Amino acid sequence: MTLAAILVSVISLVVGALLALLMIPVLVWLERRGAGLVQDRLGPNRTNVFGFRFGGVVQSFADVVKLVLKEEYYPAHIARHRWLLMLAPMITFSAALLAFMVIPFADNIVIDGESLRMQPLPVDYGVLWYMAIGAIGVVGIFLGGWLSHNKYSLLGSSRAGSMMVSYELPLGLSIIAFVLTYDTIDFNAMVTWQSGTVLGFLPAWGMVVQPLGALILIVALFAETNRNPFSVSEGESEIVAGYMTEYTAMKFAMYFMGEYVAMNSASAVIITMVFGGYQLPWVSTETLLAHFNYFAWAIMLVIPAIVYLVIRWMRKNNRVRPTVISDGSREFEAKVLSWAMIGMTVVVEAILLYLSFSPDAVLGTAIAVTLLQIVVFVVKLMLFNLFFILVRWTLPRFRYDQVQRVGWYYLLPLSLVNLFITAIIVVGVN
Amino acid sequence: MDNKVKVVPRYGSSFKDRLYLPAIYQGMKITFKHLVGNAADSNAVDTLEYPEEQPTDITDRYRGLHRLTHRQDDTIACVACFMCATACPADCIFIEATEREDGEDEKMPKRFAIDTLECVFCGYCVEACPCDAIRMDTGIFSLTGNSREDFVLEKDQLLAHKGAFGEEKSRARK
Amino acid sequence: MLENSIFAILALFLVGGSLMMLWSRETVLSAFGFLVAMLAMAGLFALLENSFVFLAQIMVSVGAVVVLSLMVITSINMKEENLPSEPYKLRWMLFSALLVSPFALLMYRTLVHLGQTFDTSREGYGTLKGLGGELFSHWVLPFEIVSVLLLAAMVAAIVIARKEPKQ
Repeated sequence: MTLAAILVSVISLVVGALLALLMIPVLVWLERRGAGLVQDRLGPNRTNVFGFRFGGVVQSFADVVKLVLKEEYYPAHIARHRWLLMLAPMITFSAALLAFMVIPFADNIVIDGESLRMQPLPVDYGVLWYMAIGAIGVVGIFLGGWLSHNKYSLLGSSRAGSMMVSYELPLGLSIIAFVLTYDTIDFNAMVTWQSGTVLGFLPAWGMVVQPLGALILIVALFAETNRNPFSVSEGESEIVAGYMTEYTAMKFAMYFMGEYVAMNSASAVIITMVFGGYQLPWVSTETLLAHFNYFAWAIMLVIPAIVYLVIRWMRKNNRVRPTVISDGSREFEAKVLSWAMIGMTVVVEAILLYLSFSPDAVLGTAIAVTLLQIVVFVVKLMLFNLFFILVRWTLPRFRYDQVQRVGWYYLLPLSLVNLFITAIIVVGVN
Repeated sequence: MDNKVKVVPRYGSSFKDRLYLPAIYQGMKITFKHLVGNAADSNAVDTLEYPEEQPTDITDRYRGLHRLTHRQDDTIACVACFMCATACPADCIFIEATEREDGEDEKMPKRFAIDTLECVFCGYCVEACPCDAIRMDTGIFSLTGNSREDFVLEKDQLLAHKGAFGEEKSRARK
Repeated sequence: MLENSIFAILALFLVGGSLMMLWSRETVLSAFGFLVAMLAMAGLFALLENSFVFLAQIMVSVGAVVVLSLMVITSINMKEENLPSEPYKLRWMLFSALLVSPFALLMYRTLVHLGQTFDTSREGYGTLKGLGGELFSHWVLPFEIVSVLLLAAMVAAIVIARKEPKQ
């Protein structure tokens, strides 16, 4: 294994783990602030570390500290099986985390002629891995509900478990339709397939090529991750907290984090299969590598504009209210963050300038293209997570029989029909 | 006797309703508008940013913290008749009477304590008092302390609270 | 060396999980033992560099069979008094082990022999592409027969689970 291969795999692993784990506080923050803004109120925005609020992200870290330090107790009836009670949320959490690890965040980087995968787990059977490992998460829910020794937890876990199992069918069938279209089970190859065009002007994203399949995939993934409107398991007004009722402190934190990691993985899979993954629309990796100078100049123009808009937005919004006297800590934070962003912009501009004017910087160009693709991936991931959160705060929860009806009566036949039509078209075109 | 039967129209059976996607799209338009609008200008959101902004709806009828009033000659107006202690539904007023010094009435309170942790701020004591001696018009809505004993307000503290809406002295006697 | 130690750990989990499944008094612990055994077996397949069977094992055994057994356990509240009483259990077990031992010997001889006759160095071994090619070129007929069998089993299950039509 060459040095480049080792470095790339270590960096991919670190980036993947950070993306999955650091996204949890960010998602919790997005959920709470987003929920507040949708409902015409501000979310949590007071916790700060030496005056730095970062819009309220620090609140998520304060939540984690609280959950770690809470009192741990167990229901009295399961005195001998405490270890299984502790293990059940870990199963769900690790299944969700492992399922995220096969999503590519950039194209294969070519260093000295060898092509290295930019996935945390560089395997070429990504789709199968996601479906298999994602199916393990259900076990943790059943175990958790049963071991709580509580009628309502049992109800919640049975509902959640059978819902997740019912929606694995349309999920699998729509994924098979996608596999037929892209002719591969490798996520990376799927993304590079989507860099063409359809009808000459539309990007060949999954949304355009397989609209019905994309719809079924999105709905089935909403159900798989127990997210509104399919949140029958945590029906907050009906069965307290469902299977999570008897869980305290760290065990609850694992379920809670597991749900957000699963949502993140679902978003990642959706953008990889349906929205073109880490790519800019219409631009494939070869185009990027060949004409990197033009892209570098375009980025050099776009970044200062974005930073300027962000600084102006921060100055306007990162204060209590214009008519009120406050202690100036928020203005101080806005100033520090503005200078930090300007500093980063200067550094990035310098690097891009050097790259675009140096004659033969193959390695530098490759790394810059990879970084650009990672940035595009993260932006798309955040946008899709925001979509998940927005749908949660728009739709009321489905009743359980409606959930099962949609899964079995409507989605399953639709996905079969989709598979049929896709197969006919794929065989007919080739 | 003819039965009046009213037929209620049932919604939700047209194809567009059962598809549910157009409804989702319309709902998300509204939530998206709220999200982006509020994020772009978070000063317009109606949340009260306490403590930089104080509440603006404290009127003279607002039942804030209690105060004992003075008469025109700055003596205490309360005659320790125990009407407020009897009327209190939470039993949180503790009075001990003693002789009044200035000779106009017979009694005055030696100890007048209100346990604000028990108080439900109902205002019955204000209604019961025949001498306009206790009022709840201080406009103070937030009381903090470090121990339970800090929340038992004694006579001196209650006499020191100032009314917030103009009338300082008791209206009962000259 | 690394491979041997990983094999040892996975084999330990497999045997431990199976023993837990057979011996535990609580049904849920039994299901958990089953889960551990299936995961360990999938790990052993992965150790043999057979990626498709590793994932298929997880998808089928864990994602379907273990989940199904957990669903059944949680809906049927089986208590110890509902189980039939089994007198002379140990004697029965020893006797049946004695009866089955010739077959066990036969199987051991077959498996040891088999291990030396398969070549694993073919192109595409273990990958989905290789498996798919083999399955749909050489083994099409058994594949179709198995799918018809599955269809028959599904139809049978639906017929059994259907509510009785009212007379």
